[in-house]
Amino acid sequence: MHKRGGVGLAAFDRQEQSKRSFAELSTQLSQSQVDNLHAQLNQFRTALAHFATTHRDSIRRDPAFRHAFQQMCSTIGVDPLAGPRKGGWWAEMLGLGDWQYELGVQIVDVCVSTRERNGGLIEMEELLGMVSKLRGVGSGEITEEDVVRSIKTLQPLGVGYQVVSLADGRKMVRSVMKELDEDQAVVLAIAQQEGGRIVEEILVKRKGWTRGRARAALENMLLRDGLCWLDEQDEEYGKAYWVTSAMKWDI
Amino acid sequence: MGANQSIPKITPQDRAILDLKLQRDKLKQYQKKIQVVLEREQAIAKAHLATGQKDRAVIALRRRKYQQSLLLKTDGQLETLEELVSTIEFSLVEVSVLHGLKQGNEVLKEIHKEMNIESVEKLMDETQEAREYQREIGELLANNLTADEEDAVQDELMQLQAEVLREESADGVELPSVPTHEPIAVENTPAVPAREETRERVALAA
Amino acid sequence: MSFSTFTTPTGFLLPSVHSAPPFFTQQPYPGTNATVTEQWITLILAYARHRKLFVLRVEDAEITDNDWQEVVRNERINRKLLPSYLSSIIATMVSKNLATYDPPGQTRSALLYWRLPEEWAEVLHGWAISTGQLNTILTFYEIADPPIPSPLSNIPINLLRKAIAVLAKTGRSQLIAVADGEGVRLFQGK
Repeated sequence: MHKRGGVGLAAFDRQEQSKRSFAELSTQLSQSQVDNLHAQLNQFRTALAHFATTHRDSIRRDPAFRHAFQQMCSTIGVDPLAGPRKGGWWAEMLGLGDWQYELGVQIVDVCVSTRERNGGLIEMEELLGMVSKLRGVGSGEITEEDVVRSIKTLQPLGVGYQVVSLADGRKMVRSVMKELDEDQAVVLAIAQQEGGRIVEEILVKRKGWTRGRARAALENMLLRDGLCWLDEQDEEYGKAYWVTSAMKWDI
Repeated sequence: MGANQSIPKITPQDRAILDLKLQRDKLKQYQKKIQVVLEREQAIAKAHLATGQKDRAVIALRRRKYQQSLLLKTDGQLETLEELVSTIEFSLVEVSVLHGLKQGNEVLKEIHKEMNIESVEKLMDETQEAREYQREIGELLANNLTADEEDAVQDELMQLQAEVLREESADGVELPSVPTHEPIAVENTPAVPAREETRERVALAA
Repeated sequence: MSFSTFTTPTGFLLPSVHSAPPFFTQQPYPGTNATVTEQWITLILAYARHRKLFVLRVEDAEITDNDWQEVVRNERINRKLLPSYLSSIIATMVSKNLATYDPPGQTRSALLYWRLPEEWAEVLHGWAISTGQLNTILTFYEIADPPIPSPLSNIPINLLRKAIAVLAKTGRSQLIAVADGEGVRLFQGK
């Protein structure tokens, strides 16, 4: 450029040069900013990874600690426990993503293996007990909250796992694609109190239902959804329904 | 009976044994029946006694006695049958043993045919010859060496032995020389030839 | 209230489902019915093995005082298996080759296969070997009612016949018939 340039062009040249310098400076600045950020991020990552590795066992084993960790992470907008995909590299780096999925698989295992005796509806307490048994003593305690979270991670699979809350506050996990209508939820709650047995009469007396409504709800559960067993030898009424998920077994 | 691999033909003996055993089974079943009758008659007698019908009780007991005599008779028959079956089965075993002995005898004969005295003697002679031959070769080989050659062989042997010994003792001698790191190292100089002397001595000794 | 296992006077451990009242009713929902029937079949075969029972009749659910009393009834909860349901359970067992109608041509009485004929064949063969009765002519009666009790004591003749037929396929048995009846001879085989 200099070879070609005269005096008039020198000013332009200078301008060009200063422009270049500014650009350089700006890149330098932003570079240093990026570097700084990278450094910070690295530091944070190392710190979190360090935290996670030193406390991984506690996170896996201790439900209270896990809860605290969960809250801490969610305030900074990451969720390492949400599974490999949702948790992104956080999950992978901290080695915790599998935890939630593993629990999910165990929940599915229990739900499927008990389905034929409870019609795909299992009480939260029983589910917790059986999953804990499956996990063995070494893997630490799990809570209702963990199960609820895991079931949420199962949702994208479209298998219809759902947590159902009963009128008395108890929770049940449903593993079949059937909608529980309100009447059935009522029936379920009463059956829970009765050890599984339910007859039209109870619904009529306690809930003020018409006999037709009671019969429809029970017959639907029996014949449409396979949620209960029929007993044709009931001493009191001759015919009783037994909600399988509410029946308690000593195994 | 000897061969298990193929199913044997059903012989008239087989049928006879089966017939006997079936008769025996019938007797056993008959005995069972009588046993039941005996118990029933006794129950009847008891019942009659309880209601004071002594005559009827006596009749029931009489019937019982008769059945008992039948049972005794069948016992005797059963014994005869069982004995007969056992005897036949044992005879069959004897036959098969005899058959086995016969076969064994044949085999033994065959073997003896192979082992007659002449061929054994011949074999022994041949063995003797072979041994002689072997000895001759050995002698020939030994005699073919001249006295010088024999000496050379002995020398080589001695040398080899010496080498072996040297190798062994060399390892052994170097061990004690290691800890001589005392500051008074002046006497080290005579120590070295001393070591060489030892070596030579060892070599000579071998 | 929960359902628990129970040990019967004959020493059989009834599963907890046996103390659940609806267990004794045939279920109208097909999926449930399949599950419950499956549990009945397992229970029936286990009990048959425990008591060495070979025959199950629809009648066993109709009359009291029979070998199946402890299973087809539960006095503690006042329930009994209804004959119609027992008949359906037997039909399922026959369809799964866990039983066979015996005599054939009716559906009121069945022979239970808590051992399959193939398994009985091996039991029979093993017994003949261990008691030194290979190559000997045996009557069905002396196999099914031996002087010393054996695993084959009281085996129904029809089942025994099936087991013998299985052994015949591998050249390990030979049927012998005379005017008065039948017998069998067993061999070592390959």
